[in-house]
Amino acid sequence: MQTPVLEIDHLSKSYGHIKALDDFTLTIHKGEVFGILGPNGSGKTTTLGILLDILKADRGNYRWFGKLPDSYVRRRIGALLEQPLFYPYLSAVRNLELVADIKGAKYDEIDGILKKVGLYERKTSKFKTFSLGMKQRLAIAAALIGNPEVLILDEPTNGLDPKSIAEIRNLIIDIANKGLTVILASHLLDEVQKTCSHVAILDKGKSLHSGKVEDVLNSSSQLELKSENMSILKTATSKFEFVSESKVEKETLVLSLKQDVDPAWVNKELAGQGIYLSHISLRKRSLESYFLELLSGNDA
Amino acid sequence: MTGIYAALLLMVFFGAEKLVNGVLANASTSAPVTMPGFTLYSFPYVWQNLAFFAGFLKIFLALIVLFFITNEFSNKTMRQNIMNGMSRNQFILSKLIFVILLSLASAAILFVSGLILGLSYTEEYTTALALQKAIFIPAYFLEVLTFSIMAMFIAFLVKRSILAIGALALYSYIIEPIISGSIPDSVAKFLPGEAIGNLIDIPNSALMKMFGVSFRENVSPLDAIACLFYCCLFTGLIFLFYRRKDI
Repeated sequence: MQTPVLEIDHLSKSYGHIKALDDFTLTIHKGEVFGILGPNGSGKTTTLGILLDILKADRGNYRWFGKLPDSYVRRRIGALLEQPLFYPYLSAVRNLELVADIKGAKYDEIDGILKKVGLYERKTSKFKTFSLGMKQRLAIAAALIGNPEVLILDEPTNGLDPKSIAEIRNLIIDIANKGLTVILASHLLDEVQKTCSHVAILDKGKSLHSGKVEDVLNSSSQLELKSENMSILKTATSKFEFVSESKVEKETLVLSLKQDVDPAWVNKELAGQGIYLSHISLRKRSLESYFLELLSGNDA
Repeated sequence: MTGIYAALLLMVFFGAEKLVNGVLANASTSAPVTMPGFTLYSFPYVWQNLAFFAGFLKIFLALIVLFFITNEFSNKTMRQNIMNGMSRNQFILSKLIFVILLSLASAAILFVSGLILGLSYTEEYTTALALQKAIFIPAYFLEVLTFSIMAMFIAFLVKRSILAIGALALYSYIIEPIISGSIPDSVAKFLPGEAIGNLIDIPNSALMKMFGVSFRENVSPLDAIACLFYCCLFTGLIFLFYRRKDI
């Protein structure tokens, strides 16, 4: 099997007595667009900070491309963490040249990258004259320098207007289609759902779930049922083994399912018992509802 | 800021004699004995004289270094540079190289100014005479280097410009004087501030000789060793400090 791009092995880090990251383990393979999803303060940025050597873990270790990390390995990674960081008194292009110097990249790719993020016309302007959205675009430009094999983006659409958000997301999807590995930290479920192939859900420094986004969305969906006599319906469905929970919402019986079932089979089964349904529909769970379910479980 | 420093340095070098003679001329109007006018610029004394005056300006150099480093923290560019693929040691090393180059440039200005002034103010000279006390040039380099590395150390430790300036002043004007007051002189003279200050003594001028005071006309190897030791110590501590630290 191919060496994973990133292996995180039981990482822990505390700030004083606050556990920012608690025994976090994760493996990311080449070509995955991996979303790290979690509410504010869940340890997303701490994780990425450790992976980029600006924070030091208390315990655990990690490997990039199968090797223990050093500064050379970081030159194969493009990163944008929290906020765009540049020398304010230097021009956009000069700032990118400094990044290219560190990464050992050539200057001639800079113009193309600036065009890609829509900053080419402002390339000689000083960084401090840029608006928040422009700063964010420049940070993405910096992350693209030197043909990185992995792109780390922490809240990349923070502070951008809807049009720019759509552009940046398309850019991420573009990059992912070229076979690059992307690690995207976000608290925006919609963003992860739209762009990522895999997701890890993080809360209070613990990993609650990790796997393919489509598995999260497909598995354990819900079935909505309506019938004339709801109480008979409820008793009948309570005998189904695949139901984990049932509740009545707005005169509709909502069954949470442990596994996928064929609605046609349910309809036939109930009809056989003399219960005729006026409504049946399979509801795919959104990442959001799963996310909130997991978080409420973690609070208890 | 570097330009302002260089201009100040040149002003001091080329204006020092006028200033000293002006003060003396004022003093001699009221003094019972007439003070002799004299030159600061003749070989071989020019080196020590200029180095001594230039020493007063090393605080500007230290401030340049201090802002240069605290800027990396306030703009968080140190963070970004390391994320981009610099190692922590490379980053610290790049700052150290800057400090060394800055000190070298300052010593080069001293050398060129001394050469020009010495050549034009000394009537008869030989190469040997001209370079007799040229040891004050490397001594001056060591003086500004040690002080700048001390500023660099404080900047890396404190990270914020205002706090770093405060810490540098607090140490130089309050903490070190208190410590040196409470320990024997033989030890106190090796405290960083004292060692840096002792490297180049007050020049013996005709004036000093009139009063019968005599200062050292050479560089003490012990002071030089102390300064070198502090350069290594402060640099080493920075590297050590950032091995395990969050940035």
